[in-house]
Amino acid sequence: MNVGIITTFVIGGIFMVSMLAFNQQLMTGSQEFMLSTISQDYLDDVVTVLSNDFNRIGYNTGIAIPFTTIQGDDILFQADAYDNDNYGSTNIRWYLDTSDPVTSSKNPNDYYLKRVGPITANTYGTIKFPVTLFKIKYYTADGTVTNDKNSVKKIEVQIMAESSDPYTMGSESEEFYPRNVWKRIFVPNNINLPY
Amino acid sequence: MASYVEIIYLSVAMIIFSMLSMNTARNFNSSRTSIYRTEVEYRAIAVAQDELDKVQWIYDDSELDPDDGSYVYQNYPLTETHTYGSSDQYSDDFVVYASSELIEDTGSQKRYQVTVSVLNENVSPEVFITLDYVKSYSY
Repeated sequence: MNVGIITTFVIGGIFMVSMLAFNQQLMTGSQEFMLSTISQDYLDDVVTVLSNDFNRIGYNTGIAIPFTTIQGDDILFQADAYDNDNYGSTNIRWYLDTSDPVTSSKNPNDYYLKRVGPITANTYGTIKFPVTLFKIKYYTADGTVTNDKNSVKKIEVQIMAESSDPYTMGSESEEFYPRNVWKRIFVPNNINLPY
Repeated sequence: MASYVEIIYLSVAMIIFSMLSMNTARNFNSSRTSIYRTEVEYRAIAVAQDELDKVQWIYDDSELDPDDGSYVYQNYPLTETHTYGSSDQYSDDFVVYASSELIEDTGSQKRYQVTVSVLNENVSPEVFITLDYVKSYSY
């Protein structure tokens, strides 16, 4: 038996294994980076649409109490969402439809967050955003949590989004979905007028 | 002698490969840190926006006067703990700094500039963002 060949095989084997492990780590890092970035961008898009609507709660309605429904994951209110469309004040609803899981993604935790309202200048309909959590809390002027539509002055909204595809990690190839969360308390001008 | 040369070649190759690997790993680690920082900044901006939204409730301009006893920011900075998740299982601490300054007094109108800064020390280097808002009062 040639000791030189055996030594070469051992060193070559160790080298090959370390190359494979390194490659695996690179793959995992790339996947996590890409999925996290996509998830953050996506969450930013949802936040942009939601912020426009929530800041305009009660705008151009002529009524003091614009809420019809206020629940933990469902809100229906009146507002004029866009100045340049052909709609005036309309009903706008944001709700997490837990009866409608997202089937086009591999993530088992995501459901559709649905927005019903004006979409274009002449279209009223539903937009769907896959999210894993949509939580709303309602506050009075002094910061107390309330369920009374007449007392709501501030609205806390929390959205959590996860990537639609997982990246795998570890020897047992566990699947992870990069997660992003955002929370904001809105104080809409039109329900906080100094009457 | 020839075998020693091969060992030296092999050693040099492995050192170069190790350095390449470490650099690549460092780059990926840096990218991952950037992602975390971006998200923390995103949340910090939301916290600052929440604080600025409260300025709408200040109808008495003396509450924005740093020399007045009712100055609303006299007890700042404040540390706020924000919870996240379906059962509030995650939390993050933010230090909120706020101040106001009279930037214009025309005789019929006062304009105050409110500056809110938010600090998060859970990432290194820490995240620090600042937002400004101008509030006007007629008198």
